[in-house]
Formats: sequence, C-alpha cells, structure tokens
Amino acid sequence: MNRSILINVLLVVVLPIVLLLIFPYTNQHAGDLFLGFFPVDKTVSFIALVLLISVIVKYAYEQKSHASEIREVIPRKFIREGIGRCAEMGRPCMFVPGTSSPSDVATIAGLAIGSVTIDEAIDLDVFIDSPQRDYMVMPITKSLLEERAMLKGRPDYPSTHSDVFLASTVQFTHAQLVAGRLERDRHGFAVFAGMFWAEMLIMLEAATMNGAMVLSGVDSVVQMPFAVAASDKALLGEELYAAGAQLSEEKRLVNSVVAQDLIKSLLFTALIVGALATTIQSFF
Amino acid sequence: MWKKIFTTRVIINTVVLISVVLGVYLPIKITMPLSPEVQNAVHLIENAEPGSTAMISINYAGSSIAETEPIAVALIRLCFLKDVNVIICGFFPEPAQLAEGVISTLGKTYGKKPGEDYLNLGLCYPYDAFILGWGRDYKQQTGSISVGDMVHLDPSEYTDLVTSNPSVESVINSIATTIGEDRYIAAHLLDQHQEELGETVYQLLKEQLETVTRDDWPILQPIDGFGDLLFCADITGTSSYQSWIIWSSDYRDEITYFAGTTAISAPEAYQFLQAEQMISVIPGYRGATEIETYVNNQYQSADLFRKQMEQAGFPKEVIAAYVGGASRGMPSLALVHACILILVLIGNIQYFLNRKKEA
Amino acid sequence: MQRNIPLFLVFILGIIYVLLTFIETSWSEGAVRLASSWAPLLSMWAIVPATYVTLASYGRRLTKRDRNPTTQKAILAGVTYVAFFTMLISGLKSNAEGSLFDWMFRNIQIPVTSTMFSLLTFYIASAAYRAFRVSRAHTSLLMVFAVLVMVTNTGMHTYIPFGQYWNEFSTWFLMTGNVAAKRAILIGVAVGMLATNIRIIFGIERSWMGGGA
Repeated sequence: MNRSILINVLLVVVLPIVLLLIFPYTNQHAGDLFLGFFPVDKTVSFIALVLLISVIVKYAYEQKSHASEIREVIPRKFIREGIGRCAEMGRPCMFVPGTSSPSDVATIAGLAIGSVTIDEAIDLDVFIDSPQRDYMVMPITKSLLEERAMLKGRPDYPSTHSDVFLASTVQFTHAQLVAGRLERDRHGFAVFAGMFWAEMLIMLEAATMNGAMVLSGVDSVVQMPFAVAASDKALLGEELYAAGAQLSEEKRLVNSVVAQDLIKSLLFTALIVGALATTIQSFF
Repeated sequence: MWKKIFTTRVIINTVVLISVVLGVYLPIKITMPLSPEVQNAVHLIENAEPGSTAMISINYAGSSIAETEPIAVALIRLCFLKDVNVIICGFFPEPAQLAEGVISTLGKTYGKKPGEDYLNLGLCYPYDAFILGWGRDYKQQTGSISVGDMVHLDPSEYTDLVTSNPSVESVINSIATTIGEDRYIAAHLLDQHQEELGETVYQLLKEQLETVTRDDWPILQPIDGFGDLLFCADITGTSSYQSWIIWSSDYRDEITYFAGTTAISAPEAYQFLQAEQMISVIPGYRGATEIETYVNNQYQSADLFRKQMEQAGFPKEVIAAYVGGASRGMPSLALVHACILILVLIGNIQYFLNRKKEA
Repeated sequence: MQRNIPLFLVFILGIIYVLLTFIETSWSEGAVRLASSWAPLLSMWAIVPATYVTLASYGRRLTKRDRNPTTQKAILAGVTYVAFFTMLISGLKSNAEGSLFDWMFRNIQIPVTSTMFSLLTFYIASAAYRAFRVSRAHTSLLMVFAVLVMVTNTGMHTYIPFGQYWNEFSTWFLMTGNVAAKRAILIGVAVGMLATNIRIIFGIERSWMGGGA
C-alpha cells in the first residue's frame, strides 16, 4: 500500500477515534496538573494543535504542488476583470479590508485578497480608494500598498494613485463615508473582504446601486445572506481564508489549503464517531 | 420627469417609511407570551432568593441602542422587583458610558443603593482577563473602578482638587478609564503623571489606589466566583456575547449564562442554546417585548412604573424611553416586515412575468 | 532584513503565546495578563499616524488637490474638519458628565449612529426586492422558512390562526435546522482561521506585510 495513503488513513480515521477515547479520561481529571504545569484536561486540544501545525507545515514545504486537488474558489480573472473595468471607465477601485482590528484573522485574509487586487491595479494604473475603520489596519494597508508598488517598480504609485486613510472608528460613520464615496466617485470595482457587521449591507448596496462590480468576502455567519444578495461574487466562510492563498498562486499557500481540508475530514470523522457513540450510550 | 423622480428605490423607501410611521401612530397592540427561549431566564430571576446577585455586561453602542436597551431595562427591572442585586460591567468605552445611565436611572427609580444593591464596575478591559479573573479568584484582582465613582474620593474633596488644578480631572479620568482591570497600569499611569498631579493629589490617589479593593463594596462580599452569581448575561449589538462562552469555558459547570442580542444576530446564538452553553436567548425587540409584557402583567403595570419614575424626578423624555420602550416598537416592526414580504412577492411576480416574456 | 525581523518576532511571540495557553502556573497567567494589558496601550500609538493621514487626505480634498476635485467634496471636507476639531477641543477640555463633549456625545453622536443603523431597513427592503427570487427548489425552501421566522419574530403570528404552533415550529427550526447549518459553516471558518494563524506564525503567509514568498 502506498505510504502516503496509509498516513492519511491513520490521520483521518484512527487518530480521531484515539482522541475520542482519551477525552473522557482527561475530562475526569480536569484541574489536575501534569508535571506541575500542564493541565491534563487540555491534552486533546494540545495533541490536536500539534497535529494541525505539523500537517500544515508538512504540506506547505512539500516539493509537490497540490493545486489541482482543490476547486477554484475565485478565479484571478474575476479581479482582473474588475480592475480592467475601472481602467476602461476611468474610475477608481474601492478596497475595504473589513472593519475589525488585525487581531481578527479575517482582516488578514481580507488583506491577502487586497494584495492581489492592488497588484492588478498597479498594472493598469487604477486609483485605489481605501477608507479604513481600524487605526491598526490602516498603516498595514498603507505599507502593503507601498511594498507592492515597490516590487512592481512604481515607488510613486501610493502617493499619486491611492487614498488610504482612517475614515472613522465608529461603525456606521465609516459605512456611510464609504457609501458616500461610492455615490460620488462611482467606483468601477469594489472589494469588501474581512470581518464585517451590520454595516456591510449599506456598503454593498451602495456599491451595487452605483454600478460597481462587487466582490465580497465575509466569515461572519450573520452577514452571509447580505453578501450573497448584494454582490457579484461572494466568498463565504472558509472561502475567504482559502481565496487569498489561492489567488496568490503560490505553491506553499495553496498546499496549506489542501492540508486544511485534511484537517476538516479528521474533524468530520471525530464528529460522526462522537455522535454515534453518544447515541448508542443514550440507549443504555 | 416623473419616472426620474419615482425610481424603484424611491418608491420602496417611501413605502417602508410610511409603514414605520403608521406603526408608531396606529393603535395596534401586539402582546406576546413568553417564548420557550426567553422563558428560562425569566423563571430563573423569578425563582431567585431575594438578595442574590446577578452580573450583566452591557455591550451595545449607540447604533443598536434602540433594540438592545429595552432588553437591559426589562431585565434589570425584573431583577430589582424581585430584589436581585445587579452588577453591571461594559467591555468597551461607549457601552460602559451608556450602562451607567441605565443602571443609575433604574436604581434611583426603585430606591436602590449603589454599592449595596447594584454596582457599576465601569469599563472592564481587557475583557478576557476580566472573565477569566472572575472564574479564578476574583479577590486576587484589583478593584476596577467606574469612571463615575472615580477613585473613591469624597465628592467635596474631589471638587476641591479639580477647582485648584483643572488639569487633574482629565488625568484622573484617563487613569480611571485605563484601570479597567489592572491596577498595575493604573499605578504606572499615576507615576507618569506625578508632576502634573502635584504631590498631595498624587499621594492621595496612590493611597486610594492601594486601599480600594473589590471587598469595599458590600454587594461583592458574598461572591467568590461564578458559582455565587445567580446568572451572568451579556446584552449586546455585536458578537461579544461569545467571548463570555469562550473565556468562561473552564467554569462551564459553575456559570449560568444567557445573552440578549439584536434580532439579526440571534439565529447565531441558538447554537449555544442548543449546546446548553446558554440557558436563554433574548432576541432583540421581540424578547424585550416578551419580558416587558410579562413584568407589566405580573409585577408592576406600566402606569405604576411611570408614576414611580415621575416620583424619582426624571424628565418626560427619559420616562418615555424607559416605560414601554419595547412594546411601542412592535407594530412598526410587524408592519415593516409585512411590507418587505409584499415587496419580495411583487419582485417575484415581476421576475416570472419577465421570464415568460423572454421565453 | 527589514522583512525578516518582523517575521522572526511573529514566530517567536506566536509560539510563546500558544504555549502559554497550555501552561497553568502563576507566572504564565501573569504573562498573559501583562500581554493583554499592553496590547491596547501599544495599539493606541497607531492613532497618531492614522489621524495625521486622515487629516491630510481631507486637506487634499479641501484645497481641491485630489484626483477629481469638486466643490461638493471641498465642503464635505470642511465639515469634517470643523466636526473633528470641535470634538477634539471640547474633549480635551473636559469629558465629564454635563460637559460640552458629553452633550455632543449624547445628543449628536448617539442619535446619528442610531439613524445610520435604522437606515439598514431601507437597504434590506431594496435588497430583498431585488435579490430574493424563488426560482429553484432550494430558494423556495429558503423563502418558506424566511416567512415563518419573520412572521413569528415580529408578533404577526398572534393575528393568524394557529399562531402559537407557528411560533413553536419556528423555535424548533431555529434550534435544529438553523443550528446545523450554522455549525457546519462555523467549523469551516474555525479551521480556516486556525490554518491562517498557523500560516502567519510560520511565515508561510506574508501577503499582509506586502511581501510575496
């Protein structure tokens, strides 16, 4: 039998069951410390974490590319089209990397999508408008823009072709400013990716109503229906996290997305086995 | 020209506006019985022993205040009517400021004493440390001081200080706000501003900072962790209610927890209800209306509440916001939703007609 | 070098912070508390450049030096400047109860943000009209449950025959069907988040700091 298949079976089937068997024991000993510092009831989480890290790191540094094993979440063509639309119509492009702080991972995922958008925009000389809500994300976006421009050999680009600024730290003030800008400047392409709350619909609707092509990415379950209703392409939940990696077309990142799927199947086995065990237990 | 003015968007917005206004002025009455998901929380408070203590963190900002404040008002009212003590805290600056208004208004109305029957802990940041701290050994922690209470200074002493040196006020304010949870930072700030504050003020504040602990408030004497609280609740317009679940997970057996959310984020909260991590979900306006109606019917009618507020000397606009704050909005809510349903229906009919034409 | 130092810091601090959650001693708790108390203080420094950049951006609009200058934009920028400095100066003077800052917070800021929030109604209405199409089996199913939840959530069911049953069914559905779907999405999101975090800590994902590989 192929060695890698064997490892996968071990990972996806045997390990979850082993973890499930350990779990009741560790739970009984909640509060106890192993070696005086390690809480026994966190054993399962610790093993799971080490596993997760090793699988992702192993996949990421593999020579082989796994790109063909996953479906295309969003084609890079879509972003190219949006930016092309801006260039043709002479309109700017709007990019909002969520309205939360960088401690939200969704913000980083949003910035990864933004990085691709910026790349395309620099190629076609499209103006980038980016009103921010978080004062920590603003400098990150700014330096992202500068870095990409530098790599593309356009150091003047950020000062002549972009407006990255802090709109307001207040949720709806920021949303209304974005809506107002969309109304006045009639952006050709609008990217909203990251963590959003209720203000998302205001921005999305404003973009759609003013004829912008809209790409939205959101991991908040509550906002997903709005994203679907009011944008041309919506990245929902984990798609947001995978999109940045896939769009970058980098081997390491794409491979780590595949590893993510493997972890999910591991969880899936644990769920099924756990649910079955609890159901059987309830009969006795 | 008319076509230019009456675009679809304008028509839709006008219809929605009319239905909201009609809801406010038409004499429609919607009374709602307690639904299963709200029931548990209400019964818990009802069956509590007088003198038990509850903790409510208030985390709504100005934007969602209309939907969430009625929940807070209805809950705290029920607590006060059943002689349950209330501890209030806020995880963010704006909510912490709003919370002070709610608790002090209701406290004054029902003649409750601050520090004994209710307490506002003020801004409790970082909230993860705050929640973890309550679970572990809260007495090890420092007193977190509300902006309103300042550093336990005597009011006259405080006024003297401020009049003699106006810059002190903003410094003390900033110290009190940053304190939140950690005395360490407060002391650090105090040291930084030593010169500005002057030697006497500095010494006074330092003394206060060292002596004030949570034990100074009678309400906190019998409490030694989540197990001694009747319940913890979070009333919020965001997903901050989840942080309680995350950070109190080590004390799952001790804590009784529920959340009041906006109607839009309520569906997300049901999973925690199903997993028994919460005992109740109070979904926005509807939940507030249910509790309010229940309290009005069982304990104190709206008229009595209004009279009591008048006696406490509150102006009309404050009373209007507190008495019947939830049930007043229900007709508008129902009408707007009906309106949206009709709009969806019209949109679909149009869609099918167009499709037929194309075919 | 410029890129390697932050990557190294992220790696070391990330690993330490992860390990700290699995160590239960007094010093580890102290370290976590210290880190979480320092974070807000450090982040406050970012306000300074952010404010500068914002004022500069509006300054360009005010003096009509921006990409597409119009009088309308200049007026808006002027209003922003006035509002900003009024709030700033009054706040510096005093933010105690009864001060000008407090008055503006209560009587301008809160009503304005509430109004913005309520504007959502109009956006939801127009989005529902435009995008909610019952064209396939699953959209019809969505429609049925949407109506059910809407009706019971707004008290309309009290005017319909068998309203109480509608309500019970809606609660049952929110607790089962709704929860199942939400959990499925959430598990995916959580795995995605974890994986992204690991990618950041191990320096695999660098797009956030502008660099490619």
